[in-house]
Amino acid sequence: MQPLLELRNLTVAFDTERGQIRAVQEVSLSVYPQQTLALVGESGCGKSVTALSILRLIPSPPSRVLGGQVLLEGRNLLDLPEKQMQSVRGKDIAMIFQEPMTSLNPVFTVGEQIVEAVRLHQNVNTKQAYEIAEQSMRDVGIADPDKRLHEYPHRLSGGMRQRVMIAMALSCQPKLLIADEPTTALDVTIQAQILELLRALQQQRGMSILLITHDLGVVAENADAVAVMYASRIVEYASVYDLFDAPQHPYTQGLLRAVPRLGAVGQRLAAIPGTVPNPARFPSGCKFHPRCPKMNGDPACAGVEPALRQIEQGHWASCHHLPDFANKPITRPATDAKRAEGSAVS
Amino acid sequence: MSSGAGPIYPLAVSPAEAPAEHRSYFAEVARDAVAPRSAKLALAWIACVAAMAVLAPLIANSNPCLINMDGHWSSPLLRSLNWTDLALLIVAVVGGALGCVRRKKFWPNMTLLAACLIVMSVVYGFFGPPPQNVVYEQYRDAMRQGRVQFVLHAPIPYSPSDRFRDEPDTRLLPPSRHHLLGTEAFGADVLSRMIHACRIILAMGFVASGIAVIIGVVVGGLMGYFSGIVDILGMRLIEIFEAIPTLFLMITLVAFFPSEDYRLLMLMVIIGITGWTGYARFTRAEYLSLRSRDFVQAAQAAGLPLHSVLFRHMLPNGITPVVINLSFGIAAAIIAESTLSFLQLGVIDQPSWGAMLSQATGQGGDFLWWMALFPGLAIFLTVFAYVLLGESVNDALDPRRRR
Amino acid sequence: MTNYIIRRILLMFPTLLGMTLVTFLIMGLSPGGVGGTLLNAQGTMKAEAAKAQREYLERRFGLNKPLIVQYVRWLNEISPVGFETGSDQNGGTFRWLKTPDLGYSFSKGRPVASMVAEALPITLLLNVVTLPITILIALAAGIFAARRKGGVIDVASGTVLLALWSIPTIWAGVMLIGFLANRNYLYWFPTGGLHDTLADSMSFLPMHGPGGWYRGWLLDTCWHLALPVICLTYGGFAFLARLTRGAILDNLASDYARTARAKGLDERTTLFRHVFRNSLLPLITFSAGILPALLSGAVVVEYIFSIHGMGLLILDGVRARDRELVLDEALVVGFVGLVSYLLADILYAVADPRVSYE
Repeated sequence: MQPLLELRNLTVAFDTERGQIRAVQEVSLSVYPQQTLALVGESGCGKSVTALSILRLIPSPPSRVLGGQVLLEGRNLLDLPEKQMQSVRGKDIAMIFQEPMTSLNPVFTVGEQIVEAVRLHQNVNTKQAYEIAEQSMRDVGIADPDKRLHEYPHRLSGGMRQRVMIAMALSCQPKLLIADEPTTALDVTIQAQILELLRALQQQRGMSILLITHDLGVVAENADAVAVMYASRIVEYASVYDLFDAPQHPYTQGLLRAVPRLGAVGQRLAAIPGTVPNPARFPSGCKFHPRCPKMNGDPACAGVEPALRQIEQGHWASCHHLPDFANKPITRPATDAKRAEGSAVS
Repeated sequence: MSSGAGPIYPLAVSPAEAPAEHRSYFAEVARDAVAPRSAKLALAWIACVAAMAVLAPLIANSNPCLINMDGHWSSPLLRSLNWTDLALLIVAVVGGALGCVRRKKFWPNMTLLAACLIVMSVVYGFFGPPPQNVVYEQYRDAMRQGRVQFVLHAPIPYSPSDRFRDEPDTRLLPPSRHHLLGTEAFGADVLSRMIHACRIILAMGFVASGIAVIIGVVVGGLMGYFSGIVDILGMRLIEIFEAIPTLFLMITLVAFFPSEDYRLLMLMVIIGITGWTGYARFTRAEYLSLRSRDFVQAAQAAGLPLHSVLFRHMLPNGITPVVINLSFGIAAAIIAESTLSFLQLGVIDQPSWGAMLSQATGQGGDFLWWMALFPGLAIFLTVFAYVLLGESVNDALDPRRRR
Repeated sequence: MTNYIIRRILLMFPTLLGMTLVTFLIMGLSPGGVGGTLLNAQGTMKAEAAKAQREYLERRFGLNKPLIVQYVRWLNEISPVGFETGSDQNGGTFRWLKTPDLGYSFSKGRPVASMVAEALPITLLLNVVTLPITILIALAAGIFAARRKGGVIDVASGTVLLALWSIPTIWAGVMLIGFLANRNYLYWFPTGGLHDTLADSMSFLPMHGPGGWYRGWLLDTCWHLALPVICLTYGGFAFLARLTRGAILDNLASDYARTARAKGLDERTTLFRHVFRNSLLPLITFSAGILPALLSGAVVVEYIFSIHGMGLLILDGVRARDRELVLDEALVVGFVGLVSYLLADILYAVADPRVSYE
């Protein structure tokens, strides 16, 4: 099956006074139709930059795409003229952001903001656009959408605003929704509701989701496939079952150990020692080696950056300490795995 | 897998990655503030004005530096120096030297400086020149009569109040070889007056803004610290003062307190007491947020006296907005002085750039371009320098641009 | 909203009271006190005559009364509710509605009300012409610079605007009038005043008559206003343009602007539809601060260009130490300032739905 969205070796850099910082390096991933791909990593690892680069929304200057391709149904978005790119944004790919509190314009009503998106991409008059907006707000579970349409964002709660953002994003029936930490700023109960809503909408409309998060709980419940990002690179890529059952990269293993589990009474939560490296001063070799429990003074770790290699069918990782790592093939990671309906990953 | 798992970075901070040893924050900000070229140029201009102010009587003076008249050697210039001239020179020389040699010890240096001033004032009181009527013409007359064997003039051989009564009409001459920037309505040299006027600018900058800052910080600090009724009353007071346009308040004060003897001091006080409200607002806001902080409560709990809590412990943490706006405040004070002098409500007879500018439109509607261009340019450059410096300090302290 | 406006209007009274009290105290506590110039202006009069005149003036204007009595008497006179005072100056009957009286100027020998009525429209005209010009130029320059962020034009215009802001009005005024309105240099503009001496006999609009074109009243006024308005404009627009640029850049980098782009809006629409309205908000607040500053600026500009507005009236008042005149000026100037702050706050509430003032 052909992926809906494919990133091939995307590299993005920021020009700063102290030189060039490569925030995203040779990231490849594929999102298949109706699939949810989760991009996981700590803050500053480059996952948001990756997402914004897909829509070419990173401010330039200072940032710049150094290489790679962003293919939407085989069409390279990086080569499109700005005018055509504008018709991709919102129509083919919609995006929702981490901060629902500030992502809506405070001086326009939510209705005006949704209608603006509708009228931009669909050939309808204002009245029809308002009907579409109202329906779209009803779809995301907002009560009394006809009244809410005429309210200003500051009158709505955070969860409600994120629903408005989703309504706006989905009003033009996009093929792909990029959700950049959609629940981070919300209360835990609201988080669950929003994720539930996204899942339901995905089922109804058959769209794909690129879910960016740092929360492994969110990944376990929503994703079909997972790409783990560390310090500008993808270090592991697999279906959600493979990743949670048999994590290969020491970083992924550390992350999973750091997740609190119900019933694990009296155990201390494991932490990965050290901190996320500063993008301006990445370590040499494998960027994880200063924090890696498997390193044991191995000169290869500090000297050579491991490529992302296919460890087995549908599972990619980059670690010198994996068995027979050097002989594994370097392939572009992609898996169209789908989670079984109603199952949970443990 | 349990749902609602937390974020994935409960990671320890290694000491190596902690911020590097905290060098003096203010030293760092100061270095950043003077880094841009515009700030360097601005500082250079301000330093130039300050140097002119200190050295004015040595640069522009009708009294010769050294003269041999009727066979007697003398230095009328040195004898003409008054107490203000000497005090400024001492502060500049001793202060500069101490600042270079031992920059760490602020209070001992200040004490030493004060001691020098006191000693000099005593010496001056006993041995200084007796008060005498200045007759600027005497040396020129003597030269014409051929009684002078040797004479060495100051670089600009005209005093600011030398009206050339001995020479044919020297009034309102455009710039020439003799008077580089021309002469004013009474015949005095414009350049000489401009150099001496630097003193007023310097005084305005330091004294008037200093008064404004002190009133503002004290009132704002008390308001923020006590809050409640003190704060409400204080805010009303600030609003009242801000509702009166500053210039209106200033000209009213100047017109009704026309002190003859201490006019300059009066002017500085008036500009100071009309400019404090901004500083009070900033300090109040800072103190309101500081008062609930741990170190303030610790200081209170330790039973420290109020002034110690307010000014030793809280002030260094709440002074930043005042520092940002100090430079703009000085610029505003300079404009205020120039404007008052321009409206003939400022200093009388003493040289001032603003007052000179007001003479540019002469009798009969003539326009004396040199009286407009040079003093105006000097005001503009000084104000611009302070504004550039303020912008630069602002940028250096801006947390968004600072890393 | 109505409640808020009423509350704000009520709060104006204590502020105005405080302002006039401060002004009065400055006058009263000064050496010589209120009316010092007036009482000592005896010239070559004989001692008895001088004494008689002094007593007459003290009685006439109540200058021998304690300060607080003088102030309260003034308050009573300007208030529409209070005691009707006759010509004898000694109390009167209490009335719920009477004609407020701004009093009588010592120095000019005229009722202050008529002087203010002549001067205030002139100063307001200056400001009404200046404010929109200032804001329009500021917006244009701010947007222009923000769209070229970091470019040569942006950096250069930043410094130029800072320099413009630093030019003292007194210098700009003297240079403009000296070089552009002087018979020895360029004589393009009139040297002063607001109208030609013949303005009253002019038609309103330019017209063709015997002997060629006549410029008419409107054009004549514009011609006279040009230089003063330039003097009042440049500082404000330099300040506001820098503010606009900063606000637009902040808003262009905001989350909601990113949302707008993610919808598929082009950069132009994002700027003019989404960012522009948000960037106006800080401008409204600062424009309110500009109006009182313009009143102050009017003192200098009116002095330089000999325009007989409030600014010159203020100068005359304080120079003559004229009690009623100075107090009434404080009242009028303070009132105009407070009203402009209130207008700005109302405008802000209209522009920003987040502000409700309830």
